[in-house]
Amino acid sequence: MIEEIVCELKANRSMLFGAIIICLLLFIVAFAPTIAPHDPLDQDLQKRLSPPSSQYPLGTDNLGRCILSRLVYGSRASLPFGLAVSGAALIIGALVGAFSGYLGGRADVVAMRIVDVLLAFPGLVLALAFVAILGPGLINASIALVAAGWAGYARMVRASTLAIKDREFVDGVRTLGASDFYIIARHIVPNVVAPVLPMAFLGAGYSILALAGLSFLGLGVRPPAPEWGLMLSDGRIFMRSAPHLMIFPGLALSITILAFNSFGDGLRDALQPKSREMIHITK
Amino acid sequence: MLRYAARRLVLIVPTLLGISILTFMLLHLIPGDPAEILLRQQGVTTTPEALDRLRAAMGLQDPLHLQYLHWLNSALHGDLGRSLAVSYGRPVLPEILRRLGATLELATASLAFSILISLPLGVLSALRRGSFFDILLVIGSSLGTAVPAFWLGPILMLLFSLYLGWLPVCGRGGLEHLVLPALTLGIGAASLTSRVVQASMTESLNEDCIMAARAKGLPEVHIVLRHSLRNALLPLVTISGLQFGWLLEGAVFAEVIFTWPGLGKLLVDSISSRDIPMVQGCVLLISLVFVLVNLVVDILYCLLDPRVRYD
Repeated sequence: MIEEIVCELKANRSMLFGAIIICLLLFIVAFAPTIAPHDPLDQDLQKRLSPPSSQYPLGTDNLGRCILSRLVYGSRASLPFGLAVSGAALIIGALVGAFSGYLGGRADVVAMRIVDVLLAFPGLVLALAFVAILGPGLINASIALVAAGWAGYARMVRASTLAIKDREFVDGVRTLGASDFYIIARHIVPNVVAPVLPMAFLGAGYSILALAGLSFLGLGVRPPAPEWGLMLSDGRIFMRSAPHLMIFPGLALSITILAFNSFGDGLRDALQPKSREMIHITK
Repeated sequence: MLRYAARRLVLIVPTLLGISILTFMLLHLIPGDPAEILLRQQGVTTTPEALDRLRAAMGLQDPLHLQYLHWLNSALHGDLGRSLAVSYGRPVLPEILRRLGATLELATASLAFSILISLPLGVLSALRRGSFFDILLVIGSSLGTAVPAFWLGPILMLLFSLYLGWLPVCGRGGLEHLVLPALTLGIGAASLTSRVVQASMTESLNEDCIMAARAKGLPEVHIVLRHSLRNALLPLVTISGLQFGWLLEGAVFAEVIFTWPGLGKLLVDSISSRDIPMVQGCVLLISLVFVLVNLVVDILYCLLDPRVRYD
């Protein structure tokens, strides 16, 4: 799998662009205190809404806080939480899908009916419903997105599980006396996760977007914490006099999502021949 | 065909029941006693007597499944409870139905805009694969899918309303009020749709029937419009159905940004004011619309392509 990804990375420029931007963003997340020129919460009220300058490279907001520093620190909310949401949804979905597909019977019927119901809601509307239950906040918004997002992965993993559960190597391990749990964890999940991996990367972009969206609506990160969606929402009020307040967080968000989408698309291209081959064999 | 439609209708019943159960459970999943939450929401002092009275009135002492059946019965009779905040004490359903029209208007306009833009772009780019125009479309559609609606909306507002003064800033009224919110949602949708049209058109142009049409000496315009495009339109139907859900989702942002009086804005306002009956109503109706639109798309798909049968 790694070989195919490296090959695709060499041939596919947009995937390479995505990979570089994601690495750069992770670097910013890790070294935010060193990169940020100011404290993101420090207010300089005499320099409120000032345009980009040498002291404040991207200007200041309505409370005189450095926008660049807030963007840098904001990546610490968007990226780790977006990735965690996507990762958690993938793990829950993969486990439910693998167990449901492998065990079959009533458990499968019940799990898939639940998945059907969850997929019958537009994703963000379901997440909003969960936020209504849990209350606003970054953690609650993340939990709401996981609760709304795992069903899609479960359905995909179940389909792949059904395709491989009767293959010889699974029969072989079963004959050797392995437990269902061992077979699912050691043999089914590693085989069915590859086709879902690109979806998880595309899903990470969506999770970052949705988290920022919930913060934009006032249901995610609470002020004064720096977060891109919240910065966008605050900047909207001053869009005529200081459009930079709104432009830079939007740009940061768009570039991040573009990077995850490009990388996810490339990953799908790299892994598709294999998944196609696998489906062909199982037929 | 009718049998398929009937089967499909029967199949959505369990999904609708599931949706109703989840919606009903919203109030009960909130940590704490629902009666206490409702009383606090209304600003009433929570004495044990008041709590008991409300519990009895709401039937909260009944087992959960009985409460659900009672709620479902009321919902089927058009009673989704009374609002606790947005329009205090008023029934939820009329308020939601009033807002539904605005949301459907916005989603339909966005979908129409998306199809109008993406169809010619996708077809042209499929006809000129590898050209500058094709590359431009790929870049444009990648950017279009990456730009969040809640950033694009304010940017469009800044440009067309505040700087140029061509269009109204917000609110609902004539066609001019609809342009910016519909563009905000439509651009993202068009980015995805144009890629789908391009892919299906490319595939359809490589089919044997097109080669046969060319061999017969039919004019290129005729081949593209009468043969290739007709085949390539099918995925557009599917993607449009899926996108309707995405548009209902995106409408939340567009409605908040442009103060469009739709269901999405009502939902966000209700969550902020913890008006749970209103949240329940909004979620129920939005998902109902989503399920019904997908049902219509499935049936339409079957109608358009008689080869498709889901037996």
